[in-house]
Amino acid sequence: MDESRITALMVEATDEVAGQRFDPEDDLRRGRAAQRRRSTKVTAAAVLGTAAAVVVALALAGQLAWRPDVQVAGGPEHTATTAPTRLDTAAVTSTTVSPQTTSAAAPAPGTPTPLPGMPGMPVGVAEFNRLLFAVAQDHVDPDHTRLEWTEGFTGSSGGNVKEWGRKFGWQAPGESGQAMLYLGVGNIPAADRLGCGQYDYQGTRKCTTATLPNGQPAVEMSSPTRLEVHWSRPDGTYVFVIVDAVFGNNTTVASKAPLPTLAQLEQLVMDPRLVLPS
Amino acid sequence: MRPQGVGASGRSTQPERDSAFTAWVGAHRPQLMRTAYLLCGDRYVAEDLVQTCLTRLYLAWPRVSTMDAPLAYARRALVNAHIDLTRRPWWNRERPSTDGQPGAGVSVGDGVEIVDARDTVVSALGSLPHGQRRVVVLRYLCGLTVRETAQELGISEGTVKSQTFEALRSLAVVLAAVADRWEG
Repeated sequence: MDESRITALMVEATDEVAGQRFDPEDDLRRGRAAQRRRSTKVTAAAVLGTAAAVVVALALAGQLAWRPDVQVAGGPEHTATTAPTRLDTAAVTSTTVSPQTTSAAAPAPGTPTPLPGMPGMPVGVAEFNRLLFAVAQDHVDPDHTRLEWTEGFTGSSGGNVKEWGRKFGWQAPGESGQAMLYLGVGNIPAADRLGCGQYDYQGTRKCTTATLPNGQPAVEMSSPTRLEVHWSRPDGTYVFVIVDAVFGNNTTVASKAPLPTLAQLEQLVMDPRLVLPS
Repeated sequence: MRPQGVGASGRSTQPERDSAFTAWVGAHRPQLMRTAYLLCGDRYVAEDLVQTCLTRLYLAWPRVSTMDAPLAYARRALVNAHIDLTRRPWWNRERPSTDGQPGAGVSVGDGVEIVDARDTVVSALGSLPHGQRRVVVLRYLCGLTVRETAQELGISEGTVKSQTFEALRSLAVVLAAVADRWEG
């Protein structure tokens, strides 16, 4: 049997179905309906996708705000190697002023100006930041040539349990690098807060216990690029100061200015003015 | 020359698109029905397959209408719809009834033999595995070459040849008898 005969048989066998009357408009209507369904699905998917993205963004923002150790904005940030604290608090973070913009946008070191209001910022934090800056200057930069004012807030706040602190820049005039001095006061239980060497530290230097000049025990770290003093006060509050040669929020270049000494930092944490606002 | 349904701006408007689609359906639906019927062996299932195929075609019309051969797209959509259908778990459990089939119940005069012959062809095709049936329909009803059949089914040319050979061997006796009766 040749191919033409097979074809003829098939055509004959299907003549009746092929001859059925039909209305192309019916197919057109079905096509339009399918198009509408598809448009609806696409729209719904877009709406759901957008909603999901917003939810994820909000969740991430909430997570970042929840972590007291995270500085949201600024330059390159070190990766935290420690787990976030378990404290259920709301934190407020903000950008710091880069070395390049400090002179133009911020007042000269030693003359902090009132901070603009920040949504969610604890009441009184601006004044407390100025206190931190003034106390730090008194102990590590009495000549007012190294420590640089930065705006914002680093810490957490939740009811009666909180940690308020501030990162300040540290650099010699005109240099491109910048170091960081992070001074904070809090009353978060020890199990829930970041201890020595746990904040944004990639190095291997170990922390050791030490005795402050006031006879109280402290935990300290000392290396050419990193200094830390953590003092847990008998009343349950604590003060800490961290100095890092690189202010990761603003730069990747280390400051060439000599860092404060460990002795200066010990004096700093013992300053009686560092009282957590009620 | 602009393709069918494509406006002066290069993009078809909805009326232009609908008009071109309707014209195309009017010209090619019978051929699609033949193909679908031989693929599935059931008039109503064939109608469903063609409707599915044409719906997909309408959705893709802005793109398909610029092709040289929209029929090839439609045929592939039809074959895919048939493949989807045969993969459904209930496909092998529900066998089409002959009630309402073309020619079913016809028993008057000289037409009876012809109707029987048509049923025989459809039944013989229905006895083939799905793959062989698709190959035979595309090659002998749609007139595609081995290469075109292979491209439309997404299989190798060797597979097309072997399936054609197996299918024709199975159909030879039946189709020869039918041909003799029609020609006699």
